[in-house]
Amino acid sequence: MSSQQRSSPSITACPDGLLLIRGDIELLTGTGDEITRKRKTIALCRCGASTIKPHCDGTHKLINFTTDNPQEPAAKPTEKSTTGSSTTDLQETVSDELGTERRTPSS
Amino acid sequence: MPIFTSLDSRGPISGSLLSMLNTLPGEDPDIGTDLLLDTVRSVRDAPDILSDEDLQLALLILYSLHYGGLGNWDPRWEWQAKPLSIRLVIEERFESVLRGLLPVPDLPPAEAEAVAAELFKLTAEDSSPSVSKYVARQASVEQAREIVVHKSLYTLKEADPHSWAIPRLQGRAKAALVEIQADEYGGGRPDQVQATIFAGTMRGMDLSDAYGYYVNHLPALTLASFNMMSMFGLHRRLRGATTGHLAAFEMTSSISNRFYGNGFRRLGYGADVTWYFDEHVEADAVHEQIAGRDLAGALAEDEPDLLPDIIFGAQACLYMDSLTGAHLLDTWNREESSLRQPLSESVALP
Ligand code: FES
Repeated sequence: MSSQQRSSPSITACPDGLLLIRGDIELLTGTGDEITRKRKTIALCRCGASTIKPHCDGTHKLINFTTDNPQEPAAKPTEKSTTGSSTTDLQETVSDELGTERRTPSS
Repeated sequence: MPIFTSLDSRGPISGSLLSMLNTLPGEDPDIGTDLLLDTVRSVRDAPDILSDEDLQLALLILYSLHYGGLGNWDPRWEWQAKPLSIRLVIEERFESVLRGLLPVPDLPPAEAEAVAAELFKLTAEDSSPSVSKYVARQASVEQAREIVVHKSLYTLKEADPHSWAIPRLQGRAKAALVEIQADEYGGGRPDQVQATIFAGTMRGMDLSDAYGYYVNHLPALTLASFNMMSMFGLHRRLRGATTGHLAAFEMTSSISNRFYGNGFRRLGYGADVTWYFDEHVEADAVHEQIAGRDLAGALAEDEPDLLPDIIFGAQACLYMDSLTGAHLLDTWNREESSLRQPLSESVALP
């Protein structure tokens, strides 16, 4: 664990999951609008599959997201996926897991 | 002045305990002596203490002396020798049965990251029948109301059982537990206290949000899940189990709350009812990381002797969840109520 001052911001890259943000840090959308922060410590999605982006909703566990870097570049730079299943397949699996209704991010 | 629901006894132990608590401490020095001996016998003979209605209700009542909220009893009962002795007799068997059912597996190294990884692995492997998936896809309004009533025993006191451990931890683990609990308690905003948000869910479903209103409806297993958290929290020596329990609880929460939220929306409930569940999707994705790494993980590094209990607490959380989940789905599949008595159509709020 770090010995840093509590007030200085920190980002913890959680293995196989999200980025945990602590401390005072400005959180902005691409257009520079502030993203409302409901709690002191927040989790930002880095698997891409969350339904409440930019926040993490735990979906990384359902899609077996891993933050291990491949030992050797297994895929050519043009191929996006190294997991064998396309993003669409994963989305379908997840949405099936969650039933038909999807949560609207604004609620 | 809170209104207390009159509790129905479920056997000789809970019956005599209620009679004792309705007197004043010290009024009759012999009161409780027979009850203590009867409890020893009853605990010894109980075929399954986890589903024993009489003993789990007695334990719930005894813990409520510390929390408050279940009866209008003289508050001095909290620290009287008789209720404490009776509690210890029940707890001793309760804990040993749980430990017998849940042998500690191969332990990870006492390092924060390894402990967090082990806890994530345990909770991912958990194959208990998913009540939340059932709620998402097919639960009826009546079943949705039942699940909220089951949840209310803990959730109207959300976070309290684990908070007992705060002064029993030091340093990093204490800071992590406070970080999680501060969020559960609304971060300084009373309207954001999770228990308060859940009370709104109950009212939105035409249920009473008065604490203990539905205790007579709740089966022993539901009481046992809450009792187990109280037992872990109220014994300093079990602080490892509290952290493991909280980690497993948080790790199984964000995805299941998404299912619940979707289920309640499917049934036509609005944001007043689903807020609680939606809130937990985001919150618990944060909490599970803190609980795994900074709470349980740091505690294992600082007090390696507690590692077996950290894992035990997590296993116990998953085990009780699987028992209550199986009970709910079994009764619903038989088209029965999962409660001891079905809810009335609509409830007059006290
Ligand atoms: S990192 Fe958690 S959902 Fe994407």
